[in-house]
Amino acid sequence: MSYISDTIVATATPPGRGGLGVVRISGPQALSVVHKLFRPLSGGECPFEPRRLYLGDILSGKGGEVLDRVMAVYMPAPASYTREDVVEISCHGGGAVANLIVERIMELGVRHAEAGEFTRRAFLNGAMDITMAEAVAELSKVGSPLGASIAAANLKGELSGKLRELKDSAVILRAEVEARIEFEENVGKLDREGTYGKLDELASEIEELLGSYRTYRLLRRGVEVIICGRVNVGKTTLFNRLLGSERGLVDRTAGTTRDWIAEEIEIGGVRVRLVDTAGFGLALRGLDGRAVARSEELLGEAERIVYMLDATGGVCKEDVVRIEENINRGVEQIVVLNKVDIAKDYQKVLAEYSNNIKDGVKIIPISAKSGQGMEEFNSALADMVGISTKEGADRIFVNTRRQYRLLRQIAEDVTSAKGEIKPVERIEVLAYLLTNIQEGFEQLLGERYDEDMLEEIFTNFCIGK
Amino acid sequence: MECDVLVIGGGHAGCEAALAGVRMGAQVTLVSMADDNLGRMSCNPAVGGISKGHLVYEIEALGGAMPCITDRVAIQYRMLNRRKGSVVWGLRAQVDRMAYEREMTAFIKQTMGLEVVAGEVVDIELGGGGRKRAILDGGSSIDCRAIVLATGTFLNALMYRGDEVWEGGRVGEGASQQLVNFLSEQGFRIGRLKTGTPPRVKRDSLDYSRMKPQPGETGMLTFTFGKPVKEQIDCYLANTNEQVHEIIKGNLDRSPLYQGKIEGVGPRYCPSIEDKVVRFGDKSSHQIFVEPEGRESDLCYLNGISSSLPQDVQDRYLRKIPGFEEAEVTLYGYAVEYDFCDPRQLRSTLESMVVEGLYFAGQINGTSGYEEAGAQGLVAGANAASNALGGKRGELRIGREEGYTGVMIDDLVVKGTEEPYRMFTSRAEYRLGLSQYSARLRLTGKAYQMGLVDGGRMDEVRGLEERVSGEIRRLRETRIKGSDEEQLQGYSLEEVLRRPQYNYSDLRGVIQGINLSEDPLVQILVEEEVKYAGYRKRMERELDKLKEMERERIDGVDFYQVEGISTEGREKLKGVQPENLRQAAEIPGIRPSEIMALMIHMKHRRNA
Repeated sequence: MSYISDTIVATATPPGRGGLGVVRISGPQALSVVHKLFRPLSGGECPFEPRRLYLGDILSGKGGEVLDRVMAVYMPAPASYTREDVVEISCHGGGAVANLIVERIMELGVRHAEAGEFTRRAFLNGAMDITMAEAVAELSKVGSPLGASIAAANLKGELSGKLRELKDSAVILRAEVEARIEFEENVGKLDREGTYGKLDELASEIEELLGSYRTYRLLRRGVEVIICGRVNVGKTTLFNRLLGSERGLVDRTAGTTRDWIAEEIEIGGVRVRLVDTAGFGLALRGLDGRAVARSEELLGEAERIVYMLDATGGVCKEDVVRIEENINRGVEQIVVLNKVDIAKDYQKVLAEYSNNIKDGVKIIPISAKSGQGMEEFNSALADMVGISTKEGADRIFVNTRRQYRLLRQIAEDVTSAKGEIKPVERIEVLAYLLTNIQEGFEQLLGERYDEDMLEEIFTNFCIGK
Repeated sequence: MECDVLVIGGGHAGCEAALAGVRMGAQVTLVSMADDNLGRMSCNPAVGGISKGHLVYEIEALGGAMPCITDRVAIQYRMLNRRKGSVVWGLRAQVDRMAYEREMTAFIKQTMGLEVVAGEVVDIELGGGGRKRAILDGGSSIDCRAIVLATGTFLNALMYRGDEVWEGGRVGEGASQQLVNFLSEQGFRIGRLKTGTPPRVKRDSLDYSRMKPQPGETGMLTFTFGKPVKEQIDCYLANTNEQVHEIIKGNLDRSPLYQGKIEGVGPRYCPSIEDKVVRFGDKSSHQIFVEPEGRESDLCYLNGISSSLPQDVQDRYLRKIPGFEEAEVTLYGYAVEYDFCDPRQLRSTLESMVVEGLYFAGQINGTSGYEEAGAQGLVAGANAASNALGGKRGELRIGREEGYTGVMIDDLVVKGTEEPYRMFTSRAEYRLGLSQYSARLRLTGKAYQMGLVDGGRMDEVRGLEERVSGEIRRLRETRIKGSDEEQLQGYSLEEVLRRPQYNYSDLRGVIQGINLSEDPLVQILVEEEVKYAGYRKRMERELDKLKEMERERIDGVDFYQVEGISTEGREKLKGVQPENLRQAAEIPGIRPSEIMALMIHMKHRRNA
């Protein structure tokens, strides 16, 4: 069996309902196969000029009945996604029709593509570097819009651009060091302080990239925010407001929300799982008791909490204790004082709570019902879910474990390299570590060559005697 | 005439090849245009230096002649990079140029089983069963089983100085025009390179008070592990200046290089003075190392200002150099342009893939330098002899992790070269494991196994090995109690030595009265072993991965049948014919994905 240059087919759009679906065929037989089943509206054989859309019908095998009216486009190698001959057929609906067309094409001897095979071919054929290929893989996995835009940026080569820049700085450093081993008589001594400083810069750039991976994972996985507080403080009202719908039932009766409910929303590009819980202070018996216990369990594991206070009552000791516990556990917490629109003197309650809670937690006065104070709350919430929109927009992200692991190794080598400059200089070991750093970046970029370091020496120094 | 191995060329590659062949027990004939100047130093009167010192020590470990002759005729020693780690030290000896070739010629002529013939090989006839016949210019012929081509710069050689052009590979000598025809007919890819030499001046015509003396050093081991000669001759350091550069700039139109007459590519690491002035225009001065050509010689070699400018220009700018006002030139600088064969057509035994039994060594492979030539000659000679004697003795292949010689040969056969190739320590990725001093530990066993060195030498190496490992064991087992230095309490001596601040002799201060080895070789090797242990371990892990790729041998793969490789990639693979997957991966311009495709292809082929 041929394993690289046979022809493959698959539906390129996700399965399920949809207005259109795209069937992609890649490989040397792509065009000849499509000729057999596509009848252009203009009649005769379709000329399939490269990169032109043709309207026509897909015919079934038996009897030649029309399966669907479609648009087809031919992209000859190497100017296609996979760098092979590619035909894409846009048909109606996502699932059934596209499947029929794929099956029809398979009848003509074309193999169904394995998962990710188009991208694998694109990579193997040199259409993209490895970080781009990784970005494609990530794109198909990420759920949040911001995560997707990061993967898309990496697909354009933003990460590899950054990595290449860092690699180049490592190559230059290595050339400086190697020149001192090979030709110290000609080029003079190594600038130790300067080299140390440049390694420091490199270290902080790498550190930033490593940090970006943690953020990226957050974005990909999404975060969970739990709304809690005593019964009947208005948690579900806030929940519904954030959702923009009446998802939870709201009533004046205390304890309307018996069990926790969760919905996904998007805040500043981040996927957020918002959880509304049963309030504290319900009878701990029967079904209600179990619901409360489950809410408590959730709270015990929570990393992000919106803690809601009631402006219409006085200061409650239990609230103070719980808020302080959360602080001690290192939970990220937003404390809101609700119902300020109907409280007699919410300022007084606010001041009392502030005085009672140590560490001076900031309390945001709101009315989940009227919308008062929501602007301040929303921005605090966006901050808490990890990433402010403007920060996410222009940062470069590491988005695979492979990249993270290699970068960690490079970071370790950079640290060791600094140790080989001070207090005792061991230039031959420094050179070894810089070589590894350079190769680390080459590995990250999926490339490998060796001559550029010498190249660097020769363009920057007058060598030889 | 008949012999087992015929060596063509009597330079540094040819001499080591012939001697290695004899050590293997083969009957060897060496053909050289002249038979009284074997091992001639056509360029600078020095052997060794950074990374080149390693090659000389490796030649020593394999039983070669260059280290002995050098030590016999040295007039000065210096250890370059001495303040750095000992793995990058480079021993450099100034030698007496005339004495060197005299000694080498005598040594070769007195070697039993080695015959020297003066003449030029003009053609090679290939017979059945691997037999070969070399035709000499006079019409006579020599029959043999294997041939080592070590023709240096003599193939189609042209010399240039200003408007003058004349034939010849070295001043006062001829060129070899006809052998190239044989090589191109056989399908060898021929390229052209260029090199240059500086002017030589009368030693007593210079004013040394205006230069900085560079005295020799003692207190180190020589190439043959002896003590350097006591009476050493000083070299001197002089400098060019703006006036010199102005004269050169004003006459560039008279340089054959800048007139575009020379098509051969010169070495970037050893540019001519006109190149330096043009490429580094902002530098107001360049160094000149003034090297006496011998103890008795009345000549000096001007290292650093090789030039092919016309005679009158050389005269004018030389006199502007402080100390050179009265300089009397005996030989003006010139450039040499010559043919070389693409070394990617060779295996790592230096046997060509085009003609079986034909080996290549030295400048014909695109390298420069005596040491590079000598090391290749030795490998080619040993392998040619083994081949001629029936192949039962195996092959001398040196891995990149085993020696600089291995790095050089692997670079040549995998990557080829576009300029005269010279050794650099940075080419050796296992540099921390390859010191001058470990050459015997790394290579002598290999040489002994194929009969290239004798048992006596092997015993010496085994003894050294034991002393080093014994000493390391002792340092590991000795813990510090009641030392003057409180913070070392409880550590072993090995752990102390691992710290960059301590060297071997410092251990004496750590434990009063401790017995340390007096053998300088053991001291250095112990120190290297202990200090780089962590990094060497890591290198071994990296090496394991590469070894795995090396086990994937590529035999008889038709690269045009491998899917997933670009046309360009296929051509590159075909041109290099890598022996294994590691070599394939290192071919410049081959993408990692193409290596993957090749791997998949080989797996399928195996399963088919």
